[in-house]
Amino acid sequence: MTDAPPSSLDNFIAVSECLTGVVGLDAGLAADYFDRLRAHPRLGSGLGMLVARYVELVDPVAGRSDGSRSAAPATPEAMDEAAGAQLMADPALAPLASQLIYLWYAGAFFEDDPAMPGRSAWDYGGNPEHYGRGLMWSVIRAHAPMTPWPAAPDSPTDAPDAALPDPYWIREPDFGTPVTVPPRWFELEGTSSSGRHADREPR
Amino acid sequence: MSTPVDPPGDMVPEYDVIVVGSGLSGSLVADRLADARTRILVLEAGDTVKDRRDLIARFATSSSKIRHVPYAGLVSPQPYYSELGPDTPTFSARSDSLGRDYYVEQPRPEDGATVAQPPRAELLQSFYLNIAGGTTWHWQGLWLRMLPNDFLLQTAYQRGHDWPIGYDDLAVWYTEAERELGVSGDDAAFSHLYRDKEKPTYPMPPLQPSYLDRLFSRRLNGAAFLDYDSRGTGGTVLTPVRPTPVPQAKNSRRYDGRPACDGRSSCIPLCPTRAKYEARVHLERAQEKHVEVRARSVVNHLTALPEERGWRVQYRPWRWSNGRVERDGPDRAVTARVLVLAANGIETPKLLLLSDLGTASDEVGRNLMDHPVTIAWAQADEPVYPFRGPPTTSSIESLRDGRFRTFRGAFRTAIRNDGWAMANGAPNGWAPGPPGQASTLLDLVGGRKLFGRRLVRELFERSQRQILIGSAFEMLPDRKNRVLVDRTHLDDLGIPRPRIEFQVRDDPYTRATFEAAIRFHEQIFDAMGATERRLGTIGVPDGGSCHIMGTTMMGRDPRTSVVDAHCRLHGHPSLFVLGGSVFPTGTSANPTATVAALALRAVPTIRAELRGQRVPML
Repeated sequence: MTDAPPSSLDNFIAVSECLTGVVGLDAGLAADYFDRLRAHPRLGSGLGMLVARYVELVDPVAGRSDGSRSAAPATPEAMDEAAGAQLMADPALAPLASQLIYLWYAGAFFEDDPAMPGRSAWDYGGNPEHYGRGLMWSVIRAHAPMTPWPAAPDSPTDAPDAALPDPYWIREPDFGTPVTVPPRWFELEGTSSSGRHADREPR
Repeated sequence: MSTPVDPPGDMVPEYDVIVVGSGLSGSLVADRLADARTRILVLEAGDTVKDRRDLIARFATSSSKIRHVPYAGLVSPQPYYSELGPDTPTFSARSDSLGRDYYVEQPRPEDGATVAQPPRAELLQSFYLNIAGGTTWHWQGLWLRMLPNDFLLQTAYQRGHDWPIGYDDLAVWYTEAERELGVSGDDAAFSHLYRDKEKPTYPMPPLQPSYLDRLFSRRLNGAAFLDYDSRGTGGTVLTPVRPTPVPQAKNSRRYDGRPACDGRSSCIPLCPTRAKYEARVHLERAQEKHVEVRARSVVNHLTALPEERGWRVQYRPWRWSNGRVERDGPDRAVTARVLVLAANGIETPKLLLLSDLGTASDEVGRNLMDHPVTIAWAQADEPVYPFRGPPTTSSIESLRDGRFRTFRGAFRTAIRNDGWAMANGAPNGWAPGPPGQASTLLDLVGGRKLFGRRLVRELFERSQRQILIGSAFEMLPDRKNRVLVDRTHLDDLGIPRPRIEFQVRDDPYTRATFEAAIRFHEQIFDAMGATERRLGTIGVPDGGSCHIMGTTMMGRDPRTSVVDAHCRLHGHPSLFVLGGSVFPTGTSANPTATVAALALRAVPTIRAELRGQRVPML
């Protein structure tokens, strides 16, 4: 597939990695967010332009982001940084770029609240999964309240019968793991790994 | 009011016991009384939870994630839904009604007019859940027994009232409740507050203190707090202070068929794993033993049957229709030999007032108390790694009793593990804040236009040292703080709403309480090397605690109290009133432990009444 042009989703992931500062973003979640952004009534029509502008700014052949043709090539990281700065400084693109960051970091847009004039609210699009997968929780080395603490790969996720001898909150976080999108969580609610908490309906 | 449908003419009450309210008291009593021969009916004003997963989804997709949010489709008759309408988007903050809009606290404006908000000191900033299982769905689960001197505030400190019972009367019932609900804790560090009395021995060891707690403990090692009596008597009190694990009705190991807490960090508003105790546990157990529970049934009148045969209980059934609450047929009536009122500190007195009961004194609805809170937040001088574990694992209980209670109220101080979440909605925020000291996602992106790796670094840096502490303090009983019936403001079912007249008064005792708590917070911040300090303001409570107490107070004298030492309405030994409404004083203890103990303690008295062997009125 190396000869195929990047898909629009690939480009969306690339601009997302630039704006969020986190690489290796989950492709499935990216597809969800791509759809949510495109469907945004006010900003969605600008998504194509945002992605296209980013692609243009980081293209090593098409030109430097500062428009110069100096002999010393900028590093990809520096070009990426400069591209992001340009997007965030562009009054036509910054609102959408900010909402893209909110979406990845919190799982929600921050919008005018239609029922409370003058105030804004976090809009998760009715999607509980997105709430728990916000990047900000990984960035601050925590987790979204209500979601399970992300387990180490080999440790059991079932709440054990005995006292938890080693609850995670008694020690420092593990800085050896990279910042990443937290795992899926809501689909697990009601299964044994979440403590068998589906309630019987009272009569 | 429509004519209620009575059961067929029959002088024998249909039920042995009717319980009004399926919260902690009602569910415990129903479970304990249930046996093959006893006919028990529980009437619950709210709806029932069908699936915890729905509650979790509602929480996850809401904007503000405050206490009321998972239950917004289930509680009634409050919040006051007719203001919302079916088109309000579920993510809107408007949907996250706190439930306080059901109270009548100020003149309601006509359409289009505006009314200035009264100051926070003049509002009851607490509410409750009308739902099967009651407010223990969203409670934090902290478990504090009252202290021996809490029952003797007048004798020991010349303040408030004495209770007609003492710590010794409740000790065995506290122990029973701790076993029944499943409490984890270790009081060794503050057991001296119980003096020579029987101390708790909890069924489970405490939830382990967090990394953050242990940092506080190291920094506060050997600390003491100085009280001075500003009345000029020259008295000072120096009290050693230290953080201790806080007892909680949460499993630190598997207990009673429910898992150990694994740190979902959302005790409020809902525990997704059931590690936190909910009264639902005992309500379901009662139903398994054939106790009948009718939900969506709002009791609106009580009448004593002739010749002390018992009680007639009238209720209004309701249903949901297009997202609104509406009546479901005419009012109905049921009868019972014994009545247990357990509808919380607002609805219980309201029902007594609607029924013209308890009028021997003028105290029904009066002496409304809460635990007002003052909070403080700051940046510690080293990382504390917040937003992990249960929101509170340790607290400072050291200042809950002492000679200072002659001139100021006691308080207890909670240490939060969730950073500045309570203060500004961290880490994402509720609204962009002032330009300086940016800390939330909204501040950093919306305010400072950060992105990329710089955003990652700044959000991490600004979150790791966030600390927040809060002190909840005792109020003295004040007859002017009260619950009334407002017949000009009706709920969606046509039942009068409660009018609340409540103030955290500006008097020397209260000012001294605020001053001490705020000064204590400063002392803690000094020990933590804290910067960017935000402290409370004397006279301005930052919030309430949802501890609604005092409105049907216990006492020996029927002229100055509502219920006797066995929680029976004076003059009516077959009507039991349970809950925080019976507390003559608020103390500094979270009320639920005492509510549970009083409920369990009432069961033998209720059984004696059913057997015709009435315990004498005291």
